[in-house]
Amino acid sequence: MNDLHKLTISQAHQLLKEKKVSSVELTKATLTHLAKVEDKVHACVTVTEDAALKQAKEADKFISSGKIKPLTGIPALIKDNMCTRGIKTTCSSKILENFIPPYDATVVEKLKANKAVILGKTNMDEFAMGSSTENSAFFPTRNPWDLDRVPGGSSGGSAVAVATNEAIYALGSDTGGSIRQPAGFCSVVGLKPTYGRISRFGLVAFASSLDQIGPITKDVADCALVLNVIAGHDPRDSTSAPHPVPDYSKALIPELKKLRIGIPKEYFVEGMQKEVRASIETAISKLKELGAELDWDASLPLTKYALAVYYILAPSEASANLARYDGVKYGFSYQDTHNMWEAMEKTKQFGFGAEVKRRIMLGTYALSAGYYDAYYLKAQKVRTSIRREFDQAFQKYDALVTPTSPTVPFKLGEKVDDPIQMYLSDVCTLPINIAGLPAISVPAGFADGLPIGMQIIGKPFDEETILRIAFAYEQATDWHKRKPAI
Amino acid sequence: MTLGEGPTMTRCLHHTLCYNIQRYFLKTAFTIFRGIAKMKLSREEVKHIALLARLGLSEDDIEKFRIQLSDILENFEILKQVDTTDLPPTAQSIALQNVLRQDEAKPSYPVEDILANAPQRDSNCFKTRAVLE
Repeated sequence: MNDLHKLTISQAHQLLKEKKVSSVELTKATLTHLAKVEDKVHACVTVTEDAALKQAKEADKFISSGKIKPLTGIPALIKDNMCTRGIKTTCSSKILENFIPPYDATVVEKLKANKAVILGKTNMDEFAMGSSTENSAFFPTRNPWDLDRVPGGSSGGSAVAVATNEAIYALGSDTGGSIRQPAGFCSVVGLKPTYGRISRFGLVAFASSLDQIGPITKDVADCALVLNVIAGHDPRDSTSAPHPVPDYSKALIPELKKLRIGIPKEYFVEGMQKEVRASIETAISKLKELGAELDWDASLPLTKYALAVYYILAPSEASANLARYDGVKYGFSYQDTHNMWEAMEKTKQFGFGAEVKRRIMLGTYALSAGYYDAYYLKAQKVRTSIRREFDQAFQKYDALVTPTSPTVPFKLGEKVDDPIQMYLSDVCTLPINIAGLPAISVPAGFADGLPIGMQIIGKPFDEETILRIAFAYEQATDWHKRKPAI
Repeated sequence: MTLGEGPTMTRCLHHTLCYNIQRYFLKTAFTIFRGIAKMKLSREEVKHIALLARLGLSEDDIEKFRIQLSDILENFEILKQVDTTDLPPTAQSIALQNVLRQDEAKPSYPVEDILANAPQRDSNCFKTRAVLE
């Protein structure tokens, strides 16, 4: 079998279980393919071939002893902001370029407990700040559907890796759209679970009240499988939720009878790309064919404030979280200075890229004496209104459906010097993080060969309903079967 | 500030941008009309923020951030339209409160593992520059 890298998790699991394929074969095939396409797309920061093959051998031993778990022996890539013991975790930043974590993030521990195979770490916007993966301090990642275009971000490396079969699945993180927007741009499935659903222990902190880890997969069934493994309470993350974890695979029913779906009009607005609008409208009609009751007149009037709320809260939290990079305990350290303060300032000046500095400045300003009430506190209060508005909408609807992004992938360099333009590419995804809700992006069409994603938003801790809608839609369409010609 | 309020409010990607550009010019024109200089960050303010963050900036950075941050802050003005009287702030969205644990002594990570990433060390300690000189 030459095409093992093209398998989904479900398919690979079946073959491993029936012992028709070994994990070593699957891992080697995937690594060989990765080496072939990586020169074109640059999705990975670190590839750990030897460690992966060792894990594959262990997985095969586990399987031959008659045991197997859902992710056993299946090769994955991890976004480079999740700590991996003994393997560099850079956040695509110069300041962490040589940082080797002494421990695993909880999600990585959980994958290892499943005897999964970790192939390496994926590229991202530095510290997850960005929407194009161009903010990586190392190199930009390219969209496999058009190499002159961005893959989205910040989990661009993970989305590209899954789209190009460099890995069977990947993990990303999402603070304002960083899983869903690149998933939409690359035509793969990306889920941001409810805030608290997955432990953030070992995830390098960007904005702690918004960050959430999630799966990026080739189809919805795989998404449920990965979520089953990584969800759950963790005493090491006091913001992780004690709610029980259901079997998400059981939620995948290919019909939508009696489901009430709202389409908030504020997400379909003048100026959005007309092909995106048309594709999403067609996709929503498909949901009706599948039995859903649609309301095209749903409204979330506070949506227009989300961008401002986000760009106060996220940089404020980031400015506090990133204060730790002082060059003393780990990371890049600038030594050639007269005193401690200068060393600290120069460490950050030469260690951080432009976007990270911009957000530290913005957050520091919003939190500073005299401005705290006008910016940070005000934004937190508007956040309350936004959440309440969603809560009210969810009394009427089981889910909300919107485009993932108002445009198809843009060109490299197009927005990199224009922060406001770049921030606007997350306009459909960031309200969801503000409210802490779960949302999934699924492939929903193409415009001139460029992918379009549909976002399905759910009630807090109701990942099951959005997975069901995503699954039913996927079963009724072929978009997820189209692969980039690379 | 009430300029620009109404049905053509910020609604989407390009629209928002156009709106902001339009609003920027309108506001500038209005401010000049009233004879008041438009509020923009000064170089000194940018340097002060950088000092608070202990972030070194080049001269170019100072000017670039002065302009960019002023523009971004301008966009935040929109929040003044939301009535937040009596609304509590939301710090995180799932409203867990007072998560506590037993204060139990247990082994931590090995000292060597933790010091392995230290830029400078002295025996079992992180070595830092003098804080007081």
